[in-house]
Amino acid sequence: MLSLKRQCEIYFPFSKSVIQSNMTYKLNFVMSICGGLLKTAVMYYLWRAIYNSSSQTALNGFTLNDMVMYIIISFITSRLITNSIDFQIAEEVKQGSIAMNLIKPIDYHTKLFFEALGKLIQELIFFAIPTIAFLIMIVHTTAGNQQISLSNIFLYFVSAFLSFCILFLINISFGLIAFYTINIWGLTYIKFAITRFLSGELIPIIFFPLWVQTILKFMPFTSLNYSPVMICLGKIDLKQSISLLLLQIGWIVFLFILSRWIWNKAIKRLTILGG
Amino acid sequence: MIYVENLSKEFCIYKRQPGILGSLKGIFKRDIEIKKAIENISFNINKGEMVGYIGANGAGKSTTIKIMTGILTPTSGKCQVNGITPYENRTANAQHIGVVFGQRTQLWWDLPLSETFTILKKIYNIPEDQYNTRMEFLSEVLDLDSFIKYPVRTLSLGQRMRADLASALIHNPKVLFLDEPTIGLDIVVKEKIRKAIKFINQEYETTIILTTHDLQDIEELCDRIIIIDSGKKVYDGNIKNIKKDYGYITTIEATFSNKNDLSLSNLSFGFKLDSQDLNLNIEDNKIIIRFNNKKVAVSQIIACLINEVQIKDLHIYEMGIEDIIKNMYKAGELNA
Amino acid sequence: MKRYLSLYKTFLAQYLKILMEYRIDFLIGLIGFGIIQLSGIAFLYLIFAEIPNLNGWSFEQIVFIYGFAQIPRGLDHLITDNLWILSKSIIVKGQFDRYLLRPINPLFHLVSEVIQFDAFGELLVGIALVIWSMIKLKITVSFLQILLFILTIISGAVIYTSIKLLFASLSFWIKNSHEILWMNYSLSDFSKYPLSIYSKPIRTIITYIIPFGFTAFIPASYFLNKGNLYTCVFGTFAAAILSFIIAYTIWLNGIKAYESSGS
Repeated sequence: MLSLKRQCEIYFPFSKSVIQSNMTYKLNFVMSICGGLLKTAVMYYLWRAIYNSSSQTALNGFTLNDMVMYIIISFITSRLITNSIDFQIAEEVKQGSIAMNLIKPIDYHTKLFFEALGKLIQELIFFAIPTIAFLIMIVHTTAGNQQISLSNIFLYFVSAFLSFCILFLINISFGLIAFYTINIWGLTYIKFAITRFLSGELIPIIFFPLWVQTILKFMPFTSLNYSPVMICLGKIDLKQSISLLLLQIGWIVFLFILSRWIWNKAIKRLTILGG
Repeated sequence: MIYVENLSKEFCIYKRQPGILGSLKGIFKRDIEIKKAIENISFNINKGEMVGYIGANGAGKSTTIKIMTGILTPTSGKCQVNGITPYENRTANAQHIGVVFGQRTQLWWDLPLSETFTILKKIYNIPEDQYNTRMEFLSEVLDLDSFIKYPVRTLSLGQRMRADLASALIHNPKVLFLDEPTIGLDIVVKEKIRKAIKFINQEYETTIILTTHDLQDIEELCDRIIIIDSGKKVYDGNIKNIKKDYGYITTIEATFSNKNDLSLSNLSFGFKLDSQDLNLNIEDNKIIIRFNNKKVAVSQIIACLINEVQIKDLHIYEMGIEDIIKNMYKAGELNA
Repeated sequence: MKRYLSLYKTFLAQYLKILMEYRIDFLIGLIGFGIIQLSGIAFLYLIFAEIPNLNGWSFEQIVFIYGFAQIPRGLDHLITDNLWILSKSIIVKGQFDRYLLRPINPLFHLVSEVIQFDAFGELLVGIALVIWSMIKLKITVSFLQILLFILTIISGAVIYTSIKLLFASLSFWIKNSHEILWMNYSLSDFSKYPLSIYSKPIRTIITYIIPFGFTAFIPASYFLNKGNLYTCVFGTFAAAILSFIIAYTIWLNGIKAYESSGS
């Protein structure tokens, strides 16, 4: 077993090369953020109209201000944790280059993880941190009733990183399905649709009927988006936050074992069928 | 059939500016550099001729072909193909030309090859009986039957090239443009394709313009070649003597099993030739021999080599087009 | 024209054959796009549990608009999906030459290469939502209104196509215009809800500049008796013609630029 430091030395270049190649197309990066902001703007206006149409100032404990913060942080979180590892695996399976990756003296999972990490770092530096800093400034200067505490921000980044790991493991398992079907595009679209809705990216989980909330407790989706966002907004106390983080870790352990199991099955298939 | 007069094409090359601001600025204002791809090119090609259009990479071959096929508009000059100015009347021109780009297929990737032809039949409005005779002819000449039912994406490079050639000929074009039609193919397939091209030219009097890096293509197919270099026409005439007169240097590369065997002194071969006609070079356990094949035969050189040392590996290279052009310059043959 | 129709029929038959070969994959794609649309409806349903109406619009009315929005979108998605590839990689990889070498319209050639059956996910959900909400709202339609409905749906699809064509054509100059296209395509999200909820600048943009408003809310409000025939139906028709003229002009200029620069 190599030391962690040595591992990072081996694999960090993969992260770096992802950042470098993404930054060659800076305009694309900016445009994709703009596109996301537009979608967020639609949600903002929709919520504004919803609160205007309601007789109450708070819905399920969320004021309009809360909700605006919710959708913005949600947007940031989804950009942070999203990666296209599933597509990448599918593409490599299709082109047959996955075999090349298997004979190299590196661990394929670790390599993919560091590549996804590269994207995370890029989003963090060029998008998430500046945007959150800007948000804190706005909130402080407008002196709203709510303040984002620094400890919440810290816990948020921890939780967002755990979300990133969860989605990474989900994506790995999904990418491996490419061994069995060619329309990975359709499958990832289903996955995208389900995770987006059930992770609370569109609407806080608390708006869901109770029975749905109960079911969701046994699924990893809320750990993807709802947990970090709620931690960030300070909607839950420290004790609850810690238990959410522990739950995320639990999911990581479970999904890690699951993804390894799927991986071993897929590899067996690969070696039998010859790609 | 093809008439080209004083054809010139200049490209504007935009320099990219660094950074986000730079690329944003680049949308509105850019630094421009003008590059002349071809300059004052003129030639006439008659019906039924097969002409090799050759030159080094970046000499302007593709640019000329693209103008003649209507993809590019020239900066100045005239060009007519079968009486039509291609870039002014692209669709009318497309109806009676066929084009094959060796490196890019024009077939429908996901469709079976046979369906590609059904679609082309509709695109070119080919009458049923003509289509049938043509199809029969092409599948025989190009041997399409073995893979005609498969989707194009599953074809091998050689099969795909035959398919591309057939798809460029299905409407019985008067002019056929072939841009590197044998690139990347193995010798057997190359031979098959050359044979087919020759046959089509004889049978239908199709005018053919061919660009290639493969001297053998030209030798076997063309009576006439046009050479361009740095965008200018430098030679237009008979091919027969070119190779004999200027493509006479052959290179042999041999690897030896024992390095100690090698020293320049004991490899003099005993031919009385000066360094222009015989030239030896040793790199590690490899020997590179360049020699004038008009003065000494390949077999003689190899015979000597075998006598002297143990050969592990042996390669023979014919001269490339670039070198021939260089030689022609040297001989004052080209009007640069 | 007849030749193009017959050609398209051939393509359609071929792609249907391919589709039958990959039935499962088709089903997966269909479900994917369907679920995305349904999650939008689930979202609206959850919201309407909290409020009686949205800016004066009932749940059923909003569902009608939302469903209506999917139909032109799906139609365009079905037919012109290859424009995305143009914006992303055709120019970059130097693959545009082939569209200029056949004696047919290059745009037709480009578009006919891909028929994206995944779009049926959007189309089916859209049609189902429209029918469901019409029953709930007890809307009865005359024969004339059905014709007008079809007219606005086609106009809406043409607007989608035009916007995609315009931004995809930018790739003739800048090689890769995928993200710019994606950003502008994202504006279509605005048209799924009543325009009255937005601020004035946004309303102006999606009505007059990137006219996605005409692909859903504006024509849909006519069928909900909330708008007049002239602005909603004929306005949509006019917007479609105008956007297509502008987009096609830019496309033609793009080809001209391509002809003078090569790849």
